[in-house]
Amino acid sequence: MTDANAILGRINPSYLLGGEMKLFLDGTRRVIDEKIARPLGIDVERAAEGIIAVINANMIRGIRRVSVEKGYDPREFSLVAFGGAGPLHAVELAQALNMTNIIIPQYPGIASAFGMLSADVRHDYVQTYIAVSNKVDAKRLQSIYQQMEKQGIHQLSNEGFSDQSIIMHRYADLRYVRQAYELQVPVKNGTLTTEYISSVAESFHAQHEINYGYARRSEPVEFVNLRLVALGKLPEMQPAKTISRGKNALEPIDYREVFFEGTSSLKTTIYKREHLHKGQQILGPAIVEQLDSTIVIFPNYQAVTDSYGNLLITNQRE
Amino acid sequence: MRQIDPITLEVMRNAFQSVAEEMGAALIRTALSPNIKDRRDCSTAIYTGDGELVSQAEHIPLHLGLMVSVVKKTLEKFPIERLEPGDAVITNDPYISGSHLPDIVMITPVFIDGKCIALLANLAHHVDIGGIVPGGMPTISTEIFQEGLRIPPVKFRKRGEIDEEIMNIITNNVRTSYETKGDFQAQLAANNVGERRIREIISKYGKDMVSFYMSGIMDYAERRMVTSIEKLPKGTFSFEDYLEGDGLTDNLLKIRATLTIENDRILVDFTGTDTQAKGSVNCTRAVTLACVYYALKSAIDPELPSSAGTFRPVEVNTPLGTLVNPKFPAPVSNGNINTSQRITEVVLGALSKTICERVPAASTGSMSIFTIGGVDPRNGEYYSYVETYGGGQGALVNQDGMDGVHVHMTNTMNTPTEVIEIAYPLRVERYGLVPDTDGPGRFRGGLGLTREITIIDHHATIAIGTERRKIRPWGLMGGKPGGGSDSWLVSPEGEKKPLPSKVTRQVEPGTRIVLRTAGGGGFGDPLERILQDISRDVEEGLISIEMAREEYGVVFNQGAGQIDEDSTALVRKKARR
Repeated sequence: MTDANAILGRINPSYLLGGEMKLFLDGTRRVIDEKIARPLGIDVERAAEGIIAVINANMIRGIRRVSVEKGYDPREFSLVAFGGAGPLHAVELAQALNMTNIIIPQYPGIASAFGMLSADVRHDYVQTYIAVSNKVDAKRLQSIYQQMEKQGIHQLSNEGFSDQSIIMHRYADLRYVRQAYELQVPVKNGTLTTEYISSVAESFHAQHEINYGYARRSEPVEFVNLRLVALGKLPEMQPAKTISRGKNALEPIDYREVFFEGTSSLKTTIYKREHLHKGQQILGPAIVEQLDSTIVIFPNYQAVTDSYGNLLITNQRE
Repeated sequence: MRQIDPITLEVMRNAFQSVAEEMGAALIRTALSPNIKDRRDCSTAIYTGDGELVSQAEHIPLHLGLMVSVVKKTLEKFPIERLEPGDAVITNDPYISGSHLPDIVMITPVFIDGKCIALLANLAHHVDIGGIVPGGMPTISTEIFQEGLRIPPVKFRKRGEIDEEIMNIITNNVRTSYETKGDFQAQLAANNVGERRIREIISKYGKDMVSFYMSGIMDYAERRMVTSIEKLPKGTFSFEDYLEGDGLTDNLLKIRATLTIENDRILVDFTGTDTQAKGSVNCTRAVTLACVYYALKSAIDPELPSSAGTFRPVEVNTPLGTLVNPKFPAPVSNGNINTSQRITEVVLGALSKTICERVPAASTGSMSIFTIGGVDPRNGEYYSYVETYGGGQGALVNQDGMDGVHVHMTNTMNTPTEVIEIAYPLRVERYGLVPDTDGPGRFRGGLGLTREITIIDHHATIAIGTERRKIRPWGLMGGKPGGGSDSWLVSPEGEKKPLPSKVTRQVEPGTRIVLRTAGGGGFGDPLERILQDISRDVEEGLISIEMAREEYGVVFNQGAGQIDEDSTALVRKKARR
């Protein structure tokens, strides 16, 4: 896929990872010519376009699976493209799905790593405890939760969390006797009493009513599993408005021939992501290069940077 | 006139589909009887305000066909004008448009501004419905009255309140009142969930737009079916096959179908089928339609979305008073189990005469029902174990049939051995595949299943309904028939007693019952089967070395488990002559 993008001029073969990794374009062309283009009787660029068409079709199917096939209309959403390669394909995917807005985060290549680093650390514990609610032993319940809490604290403090940054949530899985599936309801921290346990059964009835439209308040309810979620809280990360309006006009760093669709290439303006200031407009065909990604702006598309550093791509005709 | 936007059409079609699936999930998650919660013998669907099927969750093919007609037919008896918000109508009457009495359908309307915009329905196979045997599927009934309680369309819930009087009439007449009550509530839950989601869709798109696209979805399905029919070779093709008795006698019963493929429609005529049986193997017209729809869809365009539009181009003639459309009050409890499978294979058989490459060889040929009921000695309560068993799937033009699976008109999960042993006073002694029941072929049919169950500490009533004992599942293009079914019991004293293919009887504590289902037919010449596949089957214990030699012409080196290729070539050459 990277080879195909390089053949079409969409990737700069000498600027991968800011120039630290070189692509050998001749070798790439030779392999694609031998293995794909010549057997099919087409030229190398058509073969490269074919490779991209196939991979795009796969990604489109993936997006449809989480939108159309669940009854959501993708036209009502924006497409966020991340990963090193996402922004190479974003315009074509959005076009195929009739989506009007594309958002490219400031550092698309490290978006997943950013997400992982800003998420809380979570450990899940579960212990089976089967008993009809009016026969539950409150002390036993309490001690099972406490045991799991001890494990959670031990685990999280080993990972460097202080007591203040550790939070516990207790839950229980309940069902009506002879059902095969449970519902999860919250359980309070601290000391548990018999009266409190009957209120847990009551919240199960209420939850069942919300989920399925009825509750069987006169029927016995069964505890099945006790669960504990131990969270190690990390400081919340807020994106900052760090991008200001530029004083000077945006200058291209280069021009090169790029194939978009059809048989001939177009002379395409190349920009550097770090040079983009808030509000500056780029008209396609254009390519924006940065250390962790390459962004392809097709003809008839335009892009503008917001104050958070996101690049917003839209169709000029819309 | 508003234009259909293809993207909105696809989004709405999927939205309705996921509503139907959510309804199914709610039903399964809240039900009490293993029949629904573990085996998932239920279906859910969405209709227009006047009862045309828009979308359904694909659980059971037999229900797929039933769901098309049941709501419309019920509305003929119970007009929409009599419905109010919060009502729920139930019925299980096979003579309106049902299958058999344990299948109870529940229909609820969705009203917007005083107008019924949509109907939601779900169908669940209840674990008991009264009648002469537990489970409501006797093999010995001669009229429908013996098969259980027949509920005409009635309002089970009125303006949001369950009618306890109706609930009591039903629960008084079944052996499993606790489960039945819980399962009715699960059926209500399914439609509650569906109504909430449908209202969300209506509030987003508006009720006119939703109605417009509902008919758009049906028209799309119709156009697609017509397009598929246009591509088929035209002509008239007949096929016939037999049922092995009606539960009372072993007399063969003929089912015959004549298929006429025209430019833009298909006619299926069952003229020539035997008159209705005295026993319970009759199929209502709704079940027969389900079989025809399923067979056509699977052979012609499996991806076809199911809606009322899909089968507009299909015309089916079911002469009244025959096995495929009996006159009241003929018994019908076992039509689903065996006859539906035979009807399906007769239609597929007719198709095999023109598009053989898209049709499987005959499969296990029955849903092989096995029910056990009695009083559980552990708690003194009545129980009823109902399970249908898979068998061998027929082989296809390019692949083997699957082993031990449900085929064609049913799709239920099995009841796990652990669940049987926890829920019932029964012990499972064996559960597995039956070697050498494959129909030999270039691609072989699947193997049949066996289960052996011992009755613990109580007297029980058992009922078994199987097929394909004498007339084994046919192969195609030189493929051979699959192995037949069998059943027997072993008395507490260890004496083996054969059982007929359909039987209802009392058994003593400690009796072991053994059920074996039929395999599937083969496809193509067995002498052309790839050697590696045969040696794999032998290695996995699925076929014996003797069968490999006799049917496939393959010789194994003595003791080594390796194929002797020279001898094999010689044997196969001789066999071909």
